Amino acid sequence: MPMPPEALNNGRSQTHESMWNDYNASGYMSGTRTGVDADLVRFISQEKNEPDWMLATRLEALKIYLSLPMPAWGPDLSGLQLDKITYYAKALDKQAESWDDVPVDIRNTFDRLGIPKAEQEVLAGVGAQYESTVIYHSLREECKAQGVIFEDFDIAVQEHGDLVKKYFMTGISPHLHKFAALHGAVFSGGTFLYIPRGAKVDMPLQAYFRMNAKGMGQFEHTLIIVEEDAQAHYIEGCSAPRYGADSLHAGAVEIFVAKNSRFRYSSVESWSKDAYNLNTKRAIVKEGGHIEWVGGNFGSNVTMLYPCSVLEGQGSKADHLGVAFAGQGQIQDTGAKVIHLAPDTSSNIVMKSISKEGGRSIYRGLVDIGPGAERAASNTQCDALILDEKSASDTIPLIKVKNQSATLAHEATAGRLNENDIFYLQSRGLSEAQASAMIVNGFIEPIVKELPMEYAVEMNRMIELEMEGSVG
Amino acid sequence: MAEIIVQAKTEQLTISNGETVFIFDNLAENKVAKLKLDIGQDCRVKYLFLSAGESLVEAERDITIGPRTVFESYQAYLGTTNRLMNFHNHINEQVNINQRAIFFLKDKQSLRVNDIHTFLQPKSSGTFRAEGLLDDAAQIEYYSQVNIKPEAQLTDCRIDLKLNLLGKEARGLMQPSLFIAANQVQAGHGASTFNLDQDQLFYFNARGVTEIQAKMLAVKAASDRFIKAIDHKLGQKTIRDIIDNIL
Amino acid sequence: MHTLEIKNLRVKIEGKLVLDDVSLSINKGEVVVIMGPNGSGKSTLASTIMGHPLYEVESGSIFYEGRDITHSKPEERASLGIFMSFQAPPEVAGVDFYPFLFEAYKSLCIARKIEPDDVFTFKQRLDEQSAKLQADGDWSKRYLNNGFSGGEKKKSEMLQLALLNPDFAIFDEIDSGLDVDALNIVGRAIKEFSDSGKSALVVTHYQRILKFIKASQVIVLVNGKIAVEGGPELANQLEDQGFNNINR
Repeated sequence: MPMPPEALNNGRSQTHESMWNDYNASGYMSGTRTGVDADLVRFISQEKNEPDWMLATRLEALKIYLSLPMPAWGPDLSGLQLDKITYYAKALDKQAESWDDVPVDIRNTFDRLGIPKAEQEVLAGVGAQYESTVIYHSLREECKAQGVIFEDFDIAVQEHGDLVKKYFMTGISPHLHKFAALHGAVFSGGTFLYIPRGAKVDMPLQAYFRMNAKGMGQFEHTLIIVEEDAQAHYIEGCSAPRYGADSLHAGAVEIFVAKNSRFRYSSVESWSKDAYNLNTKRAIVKEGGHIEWVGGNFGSNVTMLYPCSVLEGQGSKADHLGVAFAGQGQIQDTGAKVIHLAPDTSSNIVMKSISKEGGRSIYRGLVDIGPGAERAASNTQCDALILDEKSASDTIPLIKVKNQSATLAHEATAGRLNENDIFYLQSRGLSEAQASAMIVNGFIEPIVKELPMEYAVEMNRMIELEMEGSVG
Repeated sequence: MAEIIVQAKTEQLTISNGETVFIFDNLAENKVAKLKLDIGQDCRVKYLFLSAGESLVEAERDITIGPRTVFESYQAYLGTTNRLMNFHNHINEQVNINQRAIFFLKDKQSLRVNDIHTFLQPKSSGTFRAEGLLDDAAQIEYYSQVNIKPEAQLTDCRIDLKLNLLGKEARGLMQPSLFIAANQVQAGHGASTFNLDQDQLFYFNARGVTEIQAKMLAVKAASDRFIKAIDHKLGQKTIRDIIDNIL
Repeated sequence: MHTLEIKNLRVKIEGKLVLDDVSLSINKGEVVVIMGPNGSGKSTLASTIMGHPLYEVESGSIFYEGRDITHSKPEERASLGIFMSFQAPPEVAGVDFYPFLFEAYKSLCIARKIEPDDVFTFKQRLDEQSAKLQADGDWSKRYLNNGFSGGEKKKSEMLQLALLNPDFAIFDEIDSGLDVDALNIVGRAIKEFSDSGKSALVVTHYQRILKFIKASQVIVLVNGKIAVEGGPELANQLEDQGFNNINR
């Protein structure tokens, strides 16, 4: 397809340049318009043919975005120049036309991770191919049979507008922080997942098996609604590095878990090493509901990710399991937030972090036990491995207790690999790198074992790759 | 053991190398808002900080501990009007530091403690414990921070915070943080609230003991251990009297 | 008037029926023994008499010395003179053992409108009783039941029995996990209690404890119901034949 000259961005990956051919060169389309304002917001909304209420919601969020200061907490975001970022480019065009367009080093990583070719193509955003896979089809059948709606967010806005309107940006309010407001204004694409009452979906629902998967965008919105007595497991992301020139990702995930339902959200993320990954993920859990977050974070320049569970209903529960790996030049600022609002709520947080080669992993946690949370119980265990003397680890939990019948325990440890253990494995023939990798994998095993097999394998391989890099 | 009682107007206190001292820092009496304490090397120091009753609203203590010194630090906040307390320990090489803090607050008392421990040099070890009771509508914000600098390899330390909320309006905030830039270290922290599970509560009730009485027993146990650890007659008597008054 | 009278008790836990139409009565000075296989509801019965909040009495009643205690709180029952020796005494780190004992003693005295002894007198009695029970190690430095072995926990219960001076005691599997020496010590303590004319309910799995007491009734529970009742000779029968053969 011929491309307008403005779309060529000197040396950068063409897969992220606009590939329009029949739209007039407009600043938005070619990706050269930077910064965010009301015009852009209107343009986006119009492009998607959104109903008026959605445009109104966007504009309201924009107002809030412009009024809020940068967050005072978290890692240093001074390198992020909000005015210079492109906020919208039609998602469709981000995909590679073919496998050949995918950068070589990315293809190599996929190979080393042993990811099957079909999946690789999907992960690379080579959209057309996945529809031919068997897994995709059987997933579609299962969804149809149970009444599960698993759809592009844009399409859901059109076809399930009432549902979307009821929940959209109510779990994550634009007032929450500047990037939530930004998201509310310029979000584009994403996933809509609706699990009807009583449905128990056994197969994990994976993001790239969505109807029209486009690969992870900058401001994707994932809206998940789980009705009463239902159960499902959703997996977002992959452990292969996601390449891209996008410097800012401010996506949002909102999950609504209704009475007595159980939902697991797994995500293994590895962003390219120059990105700012500032996603907001939040679950609102009603009476007797149970949310589980299982996550792995690798790569990216700066990641800030604190999945938050709001335990609104009596007896609701949250589990947060996570692994963060900070390599050279990386800051993984991750953690977990649980807000106990109702009686008999309970939370369990298990976080493991690893830092090496000058990387810095930071655990930022919040356990907030409100006055109404009678007999709330919360347990946190966070452990940090600091692999060499260049690296660092910070653990900064914040614990607020406003109810005297709550039981709370928080334990954290930090240290390095046990030399005796490494020596032992070496004496059995493993190289130092292999031994270290094995121990590190053992360290994160409690979390990895909660992931579906192929992800667990990927995560283990990611660790091996990272560990190999550490030895000369 | 040489004894030093911090007096009003003392803003700088130096302990020479090799000294063994007991330092009594009674904030309500001495009213010293800022104190810089420089402890030399190879010392044995027992330091008791007491903030009870009508006391200064804000105060800070900046303490430098020389190599190979053994530093036992006790902090007691007992029914105090003190609202903000800043402690900073600068820890040099091969220091052994043991800190215990207890707090009893009631009515609408509110206290914020910033307790920072910076390990500057290698091979030091420290345990930092704080435990206390909040009655009525009292509030505490306890920020206990351990900073391990890159040079401070082979540091071994632990923070333990325990909250006991008695009153319905009582509020507690704990932030035990670890900022670690050296890798050959062992660092840990724990934070918990004291509470009885159903079986434990049933056991107490079956013996005629209510939940509140059980919590008070826990507080008594903590203060008994604190007083015992001080192991110094003047300090023990003073603290015991005040606690008995409060409880 | 019976010391303890249970009429048609039906008890549920989390919606599941665990005791079905249980009735029994204990007179002053009597010792009633409850036996049965695992899961029969013996400990449930004990805990229900003591007032464990988890056990819901669906119907039926419990009377102690003519007083309806079916829905009373555990501390109220304790103040009336009821004591239960727990099968698995919980550990409570953070609460010192001796101060706890004194606190319990004082609370119960006050509830019964008796003047409590001062702490010195109490401590003397405590030391005497601990010596009789041959407590290993120095319990004065321990948290409540914390780090106590199984045998020590049972002795801790017996110590409390001696110090808190109840009128009626429930022994929930006091003999489980005890070696011969400990069993002798515990058995003697129970005998002493019973010989003083007080009533007791002994829940047990084994026959061994029975040689220390004179059982007036033996009741066998199976699946939450009373399967058979009899005199002390019933215990011997069970020892020989096991529980399976007594289903009626």
